[in-house]
Amino acid sequence: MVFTSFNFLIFFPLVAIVYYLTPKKYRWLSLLIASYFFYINIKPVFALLTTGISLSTYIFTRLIDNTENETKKRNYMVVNIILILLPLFFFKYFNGINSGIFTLLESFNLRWPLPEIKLILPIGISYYTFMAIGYTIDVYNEEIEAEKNFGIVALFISFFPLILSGPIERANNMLAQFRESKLPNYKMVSSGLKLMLWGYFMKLVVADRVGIYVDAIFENYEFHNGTSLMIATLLYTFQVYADLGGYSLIAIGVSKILGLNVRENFRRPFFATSMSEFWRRWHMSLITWLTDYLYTPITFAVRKYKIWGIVIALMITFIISGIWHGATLSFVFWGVLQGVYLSVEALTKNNKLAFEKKYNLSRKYWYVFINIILTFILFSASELFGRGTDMSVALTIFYKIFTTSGDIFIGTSSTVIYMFVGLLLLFLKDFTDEYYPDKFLLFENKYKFIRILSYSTIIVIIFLIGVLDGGQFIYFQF
Amino acid sequence: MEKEKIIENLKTIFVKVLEHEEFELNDDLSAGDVSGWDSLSHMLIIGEVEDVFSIKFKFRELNKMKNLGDMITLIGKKINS
Amino acid sequence: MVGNLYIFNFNSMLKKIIINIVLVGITVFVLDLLIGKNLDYNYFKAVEGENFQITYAIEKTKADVLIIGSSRANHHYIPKMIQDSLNLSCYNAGMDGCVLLYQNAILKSVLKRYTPKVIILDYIGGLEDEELSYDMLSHLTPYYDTHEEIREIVELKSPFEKIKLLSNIYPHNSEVYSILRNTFQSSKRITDNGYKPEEGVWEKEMDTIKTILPYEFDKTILAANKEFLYLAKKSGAKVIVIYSPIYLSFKQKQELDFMKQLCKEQEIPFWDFSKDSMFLNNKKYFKDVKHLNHTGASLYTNIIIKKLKKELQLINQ
Repeated sequence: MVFTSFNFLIFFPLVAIVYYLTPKKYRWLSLLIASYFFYINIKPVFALLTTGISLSTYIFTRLIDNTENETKKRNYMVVNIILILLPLFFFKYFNGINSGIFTLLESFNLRWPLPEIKLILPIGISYYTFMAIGYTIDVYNEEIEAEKNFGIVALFISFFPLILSGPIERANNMLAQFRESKLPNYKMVSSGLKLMLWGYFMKLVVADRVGIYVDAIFENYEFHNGTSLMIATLLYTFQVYADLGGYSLIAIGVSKILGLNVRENFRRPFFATSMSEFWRRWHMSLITWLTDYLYTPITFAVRKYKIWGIVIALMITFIISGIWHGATLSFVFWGVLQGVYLSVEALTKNNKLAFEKKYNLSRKYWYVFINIILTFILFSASELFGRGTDMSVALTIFYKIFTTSGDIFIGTSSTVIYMFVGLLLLFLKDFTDEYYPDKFLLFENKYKFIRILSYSTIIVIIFLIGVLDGGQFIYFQF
Repeated sequence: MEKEKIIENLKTIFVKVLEHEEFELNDDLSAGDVSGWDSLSHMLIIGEVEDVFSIKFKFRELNKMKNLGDMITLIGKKINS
Repeated sequence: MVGNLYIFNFNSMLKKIIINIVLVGITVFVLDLLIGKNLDYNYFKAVEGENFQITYAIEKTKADVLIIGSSRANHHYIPKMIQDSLNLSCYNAGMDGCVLLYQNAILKSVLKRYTPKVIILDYIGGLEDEELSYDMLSHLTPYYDTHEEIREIVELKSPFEKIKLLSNIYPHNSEVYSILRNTFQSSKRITDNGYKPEEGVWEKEMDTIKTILPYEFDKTILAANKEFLYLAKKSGAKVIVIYSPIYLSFKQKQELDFMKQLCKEQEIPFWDFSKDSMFLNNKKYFKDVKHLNHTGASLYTNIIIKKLKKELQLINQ
């Protein structure tokens, strides 16, 4: 039951009504039941995992809190983190390791073909695993007290708006909110509804439409020239933004309507003027998680190597982040690229700042523009490896981009037109939000009439050109 | 060591790491207020502070440090003990 | 007291929210009605293009020989050749990506109006990609209100299709461009009774699929398979099921065996070209793995005509 399914549009209002009607004391329980209902409907066995992770996290965080012995505290933390990580490793890397061994056996002619068992990755496991780890470390670092109500911990791990793809939340923000279960005020509900609407727009009108075009090119990369592959590479970055960003907005909006404030995940990333700024705007909940629990401890440990310590920490953090996305060589390479980008920026940062100051560049439009474009291109190039394709495929595409050219692939003109309309609207909204936050207001216009008309228009656009079923994909077989 | 002396030393460290002087050190100052003080330079500053004052921080102490005032208090405590 | 006041505030807040939602709902309803009716009007005004071909197949054709199937039907059978050599009118109702559930809808609409002399089903299976079978039903949503026989098939798409179809725009989702293009384009492009030739030559080597692993059949699609053959046969038309040439080598394909068996039971001829050496050895006849180009289609249609002649003579004797 994902956000874009019709079931969710029925499920969620019902949950909200039940939640509002439940006495304050038991509101967390109604959310917990709703969350498990949601997750069980995706695949029942997956709920065993969230239960297990919640239980283990609950027990070990309580143990950490109840002892004064530092070594014990540390051991409890380590044991819990290992326990939580086991399923992630098992599910995420099982298939990869399997096929690796199979290929090895085949090369020695030892392969005995029995029916293969393919494991499906429990959806959301990467997200709630990180949330559980973060909570454990927070308790260890005495940033937060261990929660005494097991139900609240279980809700934190399984909270349905966040379970599918984040934002990756923190215990110090969520636990207290779950405990208090305050009902939302008018502002929260109305902004929640708006966020949901725009999230649906980003996902259905932009991401899925761009996806049709991009997949058509990448899946048949042998047949396409470098120009089309380059366009697809650049568009893919928009697709990821609209997809994950749209999903996050729906998650944040849903939470707001329930009276819960959830952290933002994307802040108009394509207006960043450097890679380090980009990473403060892109998948923010993941990157702050990595900063707090991985990067900062590593930099602390290697601080005597000065700037090279920073470089080491950046490389390790992003390589792990790459592996978190998937256990393939191309994801590792994606991590290496990010590490290199950011290291180069770290090493040249002071010179760049001085240079910009000397010529007063940071206020010049053309300079900002060039930096934005450069940042976007650098990130898009790395995303070619972050798509989950084989390393060899990604390299071939990369090579073709620089060696071949020709006409841009159109396929069906309707897809290209709808894609363009969606991207343009998304760009206009982000552009005005970024540079003219108080002008051209439609959703926040002071006249109610214009507000109502704006929301309605977005809904109608979704009806008209949103990708509402899989039927659209067929048009794009090469 | 006096608080003023600590601040004076800190100023030298900040200038050395950040390579500019556009900041006013006070207790409420935090990373967001100073250009260039971000997660890339933070640990460089910490490393310099440790060297200059000949002290060692614990990781947990750093986590609890929210602004410059906290840092000054912590440094003062470390060198006097 | 404070608690009560809070609840009171919350309720008045909810009231305000609900009023706004209702206002948006009304606005959307009006816009949806205006735009949707307009799209509907222009959709049925089309005189060419894919939309027109679906309407033509469902509402207009009276062809003696009716070809039903997916894109493989559409690009493989040339009606003009069949018409000229058999002296029977012919229409190619093949549609890109449309597999069995869609084909059933076409058959039912046609049989409601008349009985063709020959019905050719170009079978590609579609049992493995069941989601596609359901998704492609979106082609039929414009006919939902007016065609009873199509309604129940469209409703197979999802349990909420009925609710979604309350919208007037939804039936034309993602079609606004093609509808507008047809409206503003005055020149009429003439297609050969539905057939669209494919250009280009396949240049890659043949893929070999050793065995296609067994998979579970979707019950609805399975039933639709049987129903199609049953209805077509019952109508009195001469029914022929064909698996047209493919540039792919496979030992065994489960759904092919399944259809063979089904045809045998109902005494319907099944012509299998999947291992026809003339095509398997000549990639110049193919545009891609699954589709013949125009040269290939001409050759193939000729073979079909010869076989059809024999088959029809048998009946006449």
